[in-house]
Amino acid sequence: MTTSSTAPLLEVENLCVEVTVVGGKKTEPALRDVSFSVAAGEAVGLVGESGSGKSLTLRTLLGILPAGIKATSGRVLFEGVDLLKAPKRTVNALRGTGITMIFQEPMTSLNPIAKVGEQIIDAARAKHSWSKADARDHALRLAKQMGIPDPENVLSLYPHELSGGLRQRVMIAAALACQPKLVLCDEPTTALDVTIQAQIIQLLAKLKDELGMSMLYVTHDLAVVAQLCQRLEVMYAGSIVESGSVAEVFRKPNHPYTQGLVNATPDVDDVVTDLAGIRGNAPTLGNWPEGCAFHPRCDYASDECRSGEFPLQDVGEGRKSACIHIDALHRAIENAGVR
Amino acid sequence: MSDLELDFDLTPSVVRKRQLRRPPTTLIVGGSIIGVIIVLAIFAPLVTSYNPTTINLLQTLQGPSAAHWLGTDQLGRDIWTRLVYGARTDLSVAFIAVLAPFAIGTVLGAFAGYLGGWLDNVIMRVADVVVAFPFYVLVILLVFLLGPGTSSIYIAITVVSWISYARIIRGSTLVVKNQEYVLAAQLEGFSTLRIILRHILPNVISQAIVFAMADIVNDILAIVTLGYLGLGIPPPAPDWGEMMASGQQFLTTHWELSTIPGIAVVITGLGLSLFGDGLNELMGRN
Amino acid sequence: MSDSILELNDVTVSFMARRGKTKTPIHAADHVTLFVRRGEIFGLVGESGSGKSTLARLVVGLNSAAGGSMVFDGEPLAGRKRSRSLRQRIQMVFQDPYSSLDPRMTVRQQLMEILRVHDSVPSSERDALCETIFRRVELPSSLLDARPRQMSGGQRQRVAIARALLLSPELLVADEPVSALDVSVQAGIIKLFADLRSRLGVTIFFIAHDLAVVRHLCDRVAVMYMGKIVEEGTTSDLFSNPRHPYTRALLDSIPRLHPDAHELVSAPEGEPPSLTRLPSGCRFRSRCPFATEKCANEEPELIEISSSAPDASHQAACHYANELEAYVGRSVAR
Repeated sequence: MTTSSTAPLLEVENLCVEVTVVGGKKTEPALRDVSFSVAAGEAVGLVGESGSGKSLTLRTLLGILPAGIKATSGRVLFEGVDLLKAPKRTVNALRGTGITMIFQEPMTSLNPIAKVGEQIIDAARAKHSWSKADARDHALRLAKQMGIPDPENVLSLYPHELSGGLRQRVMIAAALACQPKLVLCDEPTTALDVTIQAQIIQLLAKLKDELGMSMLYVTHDLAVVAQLCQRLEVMYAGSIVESGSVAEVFRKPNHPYTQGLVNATPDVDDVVTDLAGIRGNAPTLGNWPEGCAFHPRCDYASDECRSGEFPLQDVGEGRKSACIHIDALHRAIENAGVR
Repeated sequence: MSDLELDFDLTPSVVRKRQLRRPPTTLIVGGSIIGVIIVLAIFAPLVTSYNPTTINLLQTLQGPSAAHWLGTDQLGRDIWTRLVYGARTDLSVAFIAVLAPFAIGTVLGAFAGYLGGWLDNVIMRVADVVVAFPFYVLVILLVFLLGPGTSSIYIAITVVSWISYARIIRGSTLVVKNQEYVLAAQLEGFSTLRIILRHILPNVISQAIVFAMADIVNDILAIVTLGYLGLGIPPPAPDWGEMMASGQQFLTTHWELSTIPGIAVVITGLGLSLFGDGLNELMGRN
Repeated sequence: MSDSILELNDVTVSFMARRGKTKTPIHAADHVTLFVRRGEIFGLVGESGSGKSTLARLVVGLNSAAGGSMVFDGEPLAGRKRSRSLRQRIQMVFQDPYSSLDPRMTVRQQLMEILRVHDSVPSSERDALCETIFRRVELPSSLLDARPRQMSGGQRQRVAIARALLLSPELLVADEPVSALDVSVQAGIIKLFADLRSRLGVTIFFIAHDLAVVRHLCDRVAVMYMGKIVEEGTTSDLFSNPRHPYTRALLDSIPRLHPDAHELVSAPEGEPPSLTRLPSGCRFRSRCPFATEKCANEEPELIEISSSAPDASHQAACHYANELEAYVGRSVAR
C-alpha cells in the first residue's frame, strides 16, 4: 500500500528449515532460502499446494515447530528483532500484541471445554492487565466487530455449540484481542462453505482496513488471495518461485508453475478456456528433483534447468522470479491467446 | 487432514522398494531378552544338568558353587534347573493363556463395534459386569471353584481377560468402520463377514497384538501369584510362584530361594514390555 | 422420462438427531424429486447440510429412504437391500483419496477382491482387466502392486475411479471427487470424468460444492439447500440466468481470480438454520434479501422458468422466481 521508506514490519531472509526424518539419522531440507517481507498495513499472500512448505513457513515465524523440525539458517526479523535467535521471553512477549495466528480448523484450535467468551477474554488479559469487567466489555466489542450476532448469548456457548463460521469468527476475535501488528493466517477459510468463506473474507478485509494490521495469508486458493492481498509469494517445493503484486502476477505470471496454477483454477465465469492441469505430481519431502524443482513438470525446461541453483531474481517492476525462461513463457502465453 | 502432515507426506510417487530402516531399539532389546529366555526354556535339558524335581536331602540349601550355579533349595533341588524349567512352565502357560482371550475378545469386539445395536449392548454390558470385579479376585475365585490345575487357569484367565481385547478392538473398529474404504466395500455388496475379516481386522489387530504382549506379563504374574497361593500349576512341575512361596520361610537365611525366581519374573516382564513397546512403534510406522 | 437412467421421486432421507434430551428426526433430504438422463453428467451442488452427500449415498445404496421411491433403468431401486448385480451397475467414487482405499492391501488385491466377489469376470481375464482399467485412468500398471500410501492424492483418486469402473457400471456417483486434491491435479481428474462419459457412455452423478468445477463438467445442475432442491436446469441456463436467490448468493460468493474483478465477494447474511429448527415457509428466507411475508407462510414449490433450450426444463423453488431482475452477476465481459 504505502511505499514507505521505513523498514518492513516482517523481513524473512534466507530462511532454511530442515526436518529430521524418522529413523533419526538424516535430515531433509523443508524450506530453502525463503526470503520475503511484509510492510506495515500490507497483506501478502503465501500461495502453494500441499508440500510447498507454506504452512511450515508460518509455524517457523511463530516458533511453533514440531519436534524434529528446525530452522537451520537465515533470519526472521520482526521490527528488527531476529525471532530465531531472540530469547524466549522476547518472542513470547511478541505473541498476541506483535504477531498472532489464525488457524484453519477452529474446532481444534479452540479449547473445547471453555466457553468462547472466556477464551477471548483470556487472550485479551494475557497481555493487558485488565479487570474482568473491562476485559468482558472488550470481548463484547470485539464480538460485535466480528459480526457475531447476539454476542451476549453466543459468548457463553462452547465451541461445539457454534457453527463453523461462528467458530472462525471467535478465533479471529481471540487472535485480534490484543491488536497485533501482524496476523498470520493459515488457510482460515479452507474448511468453510463458500458463502461463509465470503463472509469471513469480507470480515478480514474490513478488519485490515479498520485496524491497519498486516497480514501474511497462506492458502492454496489463488482467488482468495486475489481478494485480500496486495502482493503474493508463490511457493513450490520449499522455495519461493515467484513474487510480485497480485494483479500483475495473475495477469502475466513470471514462472511456469504460477502459469500452471492459474490455468488449472476453474473459473466459474469462463467456460471457453479449457482447464489444464500440471502434468506429473508435486515432489514430496526428500524427493525434490535436482536443479529447478519444477523442471520435470515444466513445458519450458531446458538442460540448464536440471542442475544448479535457481534463487529468486529481481526481474524489474518490483517482481521476482526463479525461472530462467520467462521470455519463452511469455511468448507461449501470447501465442496461445490465453489470459 | 492436518496440513502439516500433508506437507511432510514421505511417500514417493513412484513405486520403489521400501528403504530398510532399523527396527526400534526397544524391539531389539526386548526381543533379545525374551529370545534368550525362550531359548533357555526350550533347551532346558541342554543348559541344565539336573532333574528339576529330584529331591536330594543330602544337598539342601547349598550356596552357589561350580556344581550348582545358583545353589540348591530346601529339598536339595538345583535352583538354576528349577528356574529354567520354571520358565518353560510359566511362559508356555502364559502364552497359551493369552491366545483364547485374544481370539475371543478380538472377534467379539469387532462384531460389537461393526454391527452395533443389541449385540454391542449385550457384549458391553457383560463386559461391564465382569470388569466390576478386580482381576485377581475373579481369577482366584474361579480357579478355586474349578479346582487347581492348568486348565482351570486357562479358563479363569480367559473369562476375565477377553474384555480388554474386546474393548480395544471395538474402539478401533468404531473408528475404522466409517472410513470410506469400508463404505466402498459395503457398496460393493461384500458380506459382513468378509468386511470384518479382510478389511477391518487387519487394520485394527495391531493394537490387540501389542496389548497381548503386556497381557502375557499379566498372565505370568497371575500364574505366579496363583502358584504362590497354592492354586497354581500343580506340582511337581516347577513354577516360579511356587518357588517363591516355598522359599518364604527361608527369607532371613537363604533369601535367594524366593528372590531369584522373583528377579526372573521381573526380567521376563521387562523384556515383554519392551518388546511390546517396540512392536507398537513398528506398527505405528506402517 | 424414457431416457432417464435414474429417477428420484419425492425422496426423503431422515436421521435421528439428539437435541438436549429429546430425539428429533431431521430430514437430510426432504421430498427430493429429480432425474438423471442416460449418458449425461448431472451436477448436484450445495454446501454443508444441503443433503447432497446423503442423496449420493442413497443412490449408491448406503442409506435407505424414509419416504418416496427411486427408479433405476425402469426398475424400482431399493435403498440398502440390493442385489449384487444391481450394485455392480451403480458405483461410487468417494471424496477422500486417503481413506477410500484399504491401506493394508495392494491395489491389485483390492481390485481382485471385487472381481472375486462379483464373479462376473472369469479368473483368467481378471489381470488383463485390471491393466485395461488402469490404462483407462492413465495410471502405469506398475502401480497395481503398490499400496495406497505409496501414491499421491491424485493417483489414489484415479485408483478409486478405476475401482469404480471395474465392473462397467452404468451410473457412476462421484461424491466431491476433486475437493481434496490440489488444484493442479484436479484438472486432470475432471478431464478424466469427461473422458469417461464420452468414451464409455457412463452416466455421472457428480456431487460438488465448487460451482466452477460443476460448470466445466456438467450438463445439468441441481442446487440444494437444507435438504431441498431450490433450483434445477441445464448448466447454461442456471449459470447465465439463476432464478433462486440462493443460487445467486452462491455465485456471488465465489472469489474470482482475474485481475479485472477486484471487487470484494458479496456474502449472504447470517448462517444456515439448523436442520432441527427449520424456519416456517421457505428455508432460505432468513438470509434472503427478497423475502416477504408470503415466504414465511408458504413453502415455495418448484416453478417452471422458460429455458433457452427446447426440451430442457429450468425450475426454481421461489415464489418470485420469475419476477426477479435479470442476473447481472460478477462475470466480467472478456
